[in-house]
Amino acid sequence: MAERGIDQQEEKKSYGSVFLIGIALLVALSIWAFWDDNVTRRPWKALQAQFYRLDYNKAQAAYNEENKKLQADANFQELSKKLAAIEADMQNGDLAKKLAALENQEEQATVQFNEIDQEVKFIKSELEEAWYEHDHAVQQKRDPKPYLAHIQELEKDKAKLDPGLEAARLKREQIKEEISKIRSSNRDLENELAKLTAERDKWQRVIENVTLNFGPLSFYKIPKIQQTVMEEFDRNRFDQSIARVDRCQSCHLAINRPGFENEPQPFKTHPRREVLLADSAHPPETFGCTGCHEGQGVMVNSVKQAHGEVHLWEFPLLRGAKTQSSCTSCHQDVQKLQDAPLLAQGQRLFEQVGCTGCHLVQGYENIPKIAPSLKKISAKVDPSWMVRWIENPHKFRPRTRMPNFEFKPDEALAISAYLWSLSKEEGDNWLQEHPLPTGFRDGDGNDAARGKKLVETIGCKGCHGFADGEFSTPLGKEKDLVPNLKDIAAKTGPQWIYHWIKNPRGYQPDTKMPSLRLSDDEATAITTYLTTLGTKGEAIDGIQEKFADANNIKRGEALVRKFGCAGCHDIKGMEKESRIGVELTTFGSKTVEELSFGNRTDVGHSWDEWTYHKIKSPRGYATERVEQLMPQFDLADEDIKALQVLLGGFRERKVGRRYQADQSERVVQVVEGRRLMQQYNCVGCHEIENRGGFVKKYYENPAAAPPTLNGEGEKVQSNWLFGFLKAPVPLRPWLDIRMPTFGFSDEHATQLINYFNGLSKVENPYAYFDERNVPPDHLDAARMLVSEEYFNCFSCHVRGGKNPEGPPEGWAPDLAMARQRLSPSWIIKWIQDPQKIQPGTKMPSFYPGGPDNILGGKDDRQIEALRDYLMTLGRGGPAAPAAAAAATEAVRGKAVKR
Amino acid sequence: MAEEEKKKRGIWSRRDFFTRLGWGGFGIFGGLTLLGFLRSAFPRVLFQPPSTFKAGLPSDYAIGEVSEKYKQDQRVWIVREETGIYAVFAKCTHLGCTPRWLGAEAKFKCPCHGSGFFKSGLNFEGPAPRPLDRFQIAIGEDGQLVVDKSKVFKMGPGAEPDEQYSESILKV
Amino acid sequence: MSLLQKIKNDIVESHVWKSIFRHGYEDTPRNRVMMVTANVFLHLHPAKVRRHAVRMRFTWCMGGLTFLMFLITAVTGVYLMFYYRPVAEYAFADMKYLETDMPFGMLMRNMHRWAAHAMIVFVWLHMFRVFLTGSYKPPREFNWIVGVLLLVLTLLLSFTGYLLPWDQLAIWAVTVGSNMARATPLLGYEGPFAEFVGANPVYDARAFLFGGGEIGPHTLLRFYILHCIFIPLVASILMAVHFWRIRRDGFSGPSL
Repeated sequence: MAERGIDQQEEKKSYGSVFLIGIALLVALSIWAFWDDNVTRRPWKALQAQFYRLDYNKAQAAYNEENKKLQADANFQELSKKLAAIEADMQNGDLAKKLAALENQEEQATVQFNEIDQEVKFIKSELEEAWYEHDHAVQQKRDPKPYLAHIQELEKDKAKLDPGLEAARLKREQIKEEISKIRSSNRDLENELAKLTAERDKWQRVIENVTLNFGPLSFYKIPKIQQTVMEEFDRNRFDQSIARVDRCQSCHLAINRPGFENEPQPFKTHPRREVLLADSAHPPETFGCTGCHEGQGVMVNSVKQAHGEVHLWEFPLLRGAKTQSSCTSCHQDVQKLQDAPLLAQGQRLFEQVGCTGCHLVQGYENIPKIAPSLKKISAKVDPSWMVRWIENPHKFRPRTRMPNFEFKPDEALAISAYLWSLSKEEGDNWLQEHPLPTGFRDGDGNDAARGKKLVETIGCKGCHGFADGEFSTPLGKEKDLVPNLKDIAAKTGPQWIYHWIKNPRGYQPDTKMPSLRLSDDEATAITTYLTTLGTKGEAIDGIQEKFADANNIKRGEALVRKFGCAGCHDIKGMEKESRIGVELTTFGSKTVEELSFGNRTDVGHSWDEWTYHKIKSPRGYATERVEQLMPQFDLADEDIKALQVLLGGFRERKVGRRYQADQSERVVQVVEGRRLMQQYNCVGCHEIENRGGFVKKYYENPAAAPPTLNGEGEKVQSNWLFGFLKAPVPLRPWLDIRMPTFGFSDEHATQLINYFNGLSKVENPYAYFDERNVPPDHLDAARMLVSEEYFNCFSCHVRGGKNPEGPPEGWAPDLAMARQRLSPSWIIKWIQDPQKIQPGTKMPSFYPGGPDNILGGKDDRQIEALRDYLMTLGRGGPAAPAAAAAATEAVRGKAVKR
Repeated sequence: MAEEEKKKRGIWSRRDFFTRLGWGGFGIFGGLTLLGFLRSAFPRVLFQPPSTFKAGLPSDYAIGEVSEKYKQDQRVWIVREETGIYAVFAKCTHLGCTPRWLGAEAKFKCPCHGSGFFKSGLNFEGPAPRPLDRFQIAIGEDGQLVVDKSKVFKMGPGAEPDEQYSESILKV
Repeated sequence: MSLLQKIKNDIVESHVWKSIFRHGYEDTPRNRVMMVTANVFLHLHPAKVRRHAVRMRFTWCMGGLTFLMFLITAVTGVYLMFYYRPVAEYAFADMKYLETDMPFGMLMRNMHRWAAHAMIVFVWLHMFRVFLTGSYKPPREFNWIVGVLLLVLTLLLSFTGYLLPWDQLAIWAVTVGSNMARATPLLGYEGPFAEFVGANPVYDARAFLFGGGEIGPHTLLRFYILHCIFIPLVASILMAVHFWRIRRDGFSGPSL
């Protein structure tokens, strides 16, 4: 029976052992599957258990502490004893007996009531039926009269029963009330006790919150995923809005709870929780965590997954300062965000250091060129200086904004030659039209000293520095917004300086440099002083011939075009040049693969590292085949970090509308206005939004320094401000420092006014004051209030050009200007509490506590009277002093002085 | 002979033991698999809407009015009476349909089996065994009404809802 | 009789058991045949096999293992379907929730995935074995054809399933894969003779797959239905035919 090559035994072979091993494997695998699914992949379970223990222990400790305090409190002891006594009485004392009796009575009363009530209810339902029949009859056009009779009969029956029902009800109510009175006799005590134990009971609740009780057994709560669903937060690739789900709080359990500030992560309280996570800011139950911090909020299978620090997840967790990058996703106005200082600084740097000259970014397209025009440059600078400057500007002025292009000397010469040839004609013309004044005496000691004095007092230092290390508005750590003039004579000569400071716009019509309305004499003195700062460098041999060399000019033009000089400078014939750098609108979402590291091996493979080194040494990633053009800015590490934060926020990210911060027109106005304000460097002299006023450090007496402009929009009338910005009139003519004339266009002035109004949330930029509505007694009363007898306002304030006595340091603005300048509602607030509006002001505070004998001693009426007075002052002049004096006399007779 | 041999070897022969071990193991595997499959029917997180919602200011409601503003979204009627405001759960206590408010007849009427309820929620006709339930209603920090649907006042049969849970009425 | 024995007897002799399995195991040749033919699950298998075909060395068990993989993907797939919505807004998120929310969700996903991979491998090895043993020759040539169709369906199952996670990999892999369809003669708009039938990007073989000119939300639903219903259904029918042919034709190999 043997077959070909087939062993009979084959058929009878037992596979039992194979099956047994298979079963063993199956059992082991299924146990492993359970373990994996419940323990390995659920790290939050162990963490939550750990947290509940921590929370429990903390609360227990606090509870014990409070309890100890209570036990030591005699009041508490007495109250609890009293309460215990009453409760015992209610359990089995006299009160208990009384209660039992009453309850018995109540039962009887209820039975009585129900009996009558039932009868009434029957009648009521019969009535319902009768009414139905009646209505039915009416609708079928039958005679409804018999039904009505039936109804009346029923009503009568019901009326008979009603008094009995009411009486029964009343009786029952009465008994009920008595019972509840006895029952609540301990309520007062309980309440009082609860007040005492409130603090302790709070901890009790915390303990209850983390434990789970089954009869006498008590466990920690069962761990559970805690999630926040943010509907319509994201948009997918098909532009459909999708929800985002955060489960971060499954581990970060105390993120929104005070008291865990010093615990290790993940149980730490969020820094600045009370501000950042407040209901008015980013409550985590609405915004989740990944809205700002990114990461992979939905994945809680491992810490790495949750933090998004896994392969191919594009949004890893943002920690610490880097989180500020996210602000731009929802906030348009990032400068006002107090908790994003790096972002704000980064934005200022980005706008002001010239990044936008080469790089296009959405939202930053319209920033004007930051550097001076080169159209008449030949009239301005020394040619040899120019060559050296272009070669490496940081050598001459390390803090300049102009970056170092690392040109070779011949390249610098070529560029200079090209620029010179372009501007020669126009420059020469300008020089001819603007000769050096005859009064100028080079090196005159007197004039120089006078010029120095002027420079130090009239406000030049609000922008410029005149010595090493001197600057007003900082630009990052190591840059100046405006040139330091300590070596100015090396760069240019007296003829240009004189005409430039006299009228900057006469040389460059769109310059940001304002005119300080200098007289010829002042301008001469300052020019003399400036020409003493620094000395002319060595002239390059045959420079004019080299400049005239056509080859040089041609080569220079190519270089200027290649390096994009026209991004920052106005150059004749290059008005339409495009930006030479890459667009950065989506730079923040670039992945490492999209960044070229060249041949560098010392740079870590991450966006952060790449960006840092790119700004630190811009041409570091160049290779033999790949040229890089970005110049060296020599920024401090801190500034690079700030720029990184800003760049990180340049992302293609569409956050759902309902999550976005205020995107109204006003925010846009504030952002644009602030940008303009920073371009004109208003903060050099004025403090605005609690930043700036840098010139103040040169003035010992704060009263001699420019005013703070916090809340300016609310303070002044927009109409006045418009005129003032266009042509400033000194408010305090006795000061040395002057508000310069910037020559704002109408558009710019309006933008600035919108900015101030936007900051102060002024809805209505118009002020109208109707004098006819001023109550007749107000003006007289106010005249008394401002008089010497009372507030003596004119001891400091100028009145209609009449200066007060005493030294000018104590003087204050002319009150006759108030009518046109100040907003009436602001005057009220100001008089109420000047310190609140402008801390540190000299203006004394008179309220509350105005004199009792004027306007019935009512403070608010007196303040209104003062406002009415100010709003009419200077309109045909204030009333005759005689009248005021007479009025004062009249009061003095009968009144008590304040 | 087989019987005898078995007796000689005791209750379990080696072969029996391994057979049972094998089947026992398979049983464990099967049990765990079944358990796993059953467990997987209950997800760890549920996507549920929050149980509370804001229902506007008390002054938005006229006295005597039954507001159907939140019936569609939240299945709640807000009723304002002289005594106060209460939130009625729009779910018939018979078989769970959503009744309608018939203003002319001043009653809630269930379309499914004709149960009727007074404005207070008390059942008076049809098969519904007990009055309509109510939700807790309170005034939030911003002065708006807050209805908490996780706190239900479950009405018993036969008595006026106001008497069963006087705390279900918010005094304004 | 021990208690266990009694319980066993009770179960085996119960009406339910008999309804399902019909025949107990009494070791006679007739009973062996009855055991197989009367049982719905076993009857797909031939009642009698030649002795050499029992050996692992001959069949490699590949056909059976392929079928086992199909069953595993079917069962785990059903579980995944409970937690997956084939809608563009939810698909990706559901896949993520599946891994964290659904108990054993990750296990199900991984089993589904690896079983699918293994199925492809086993199908190829099965085909290879059939080729080596010459089992494709008449009278089994029809079953070879059915097998080839099943191979295509297996590949299509993998391909359609690839899109369902709805991540970048899925979208682009399917984009790349489906672009081949553009070059189908006559039916693809970039294929030869397309102009004669008027094929264009939204009206050709690829658009038939996609439900439009590009991958979009509509494609997801289309692939989901192909993956979960249409292809498995067709494959099941073909499998039935396949198994039936084996039963009829017997295992190949040396004759007795």
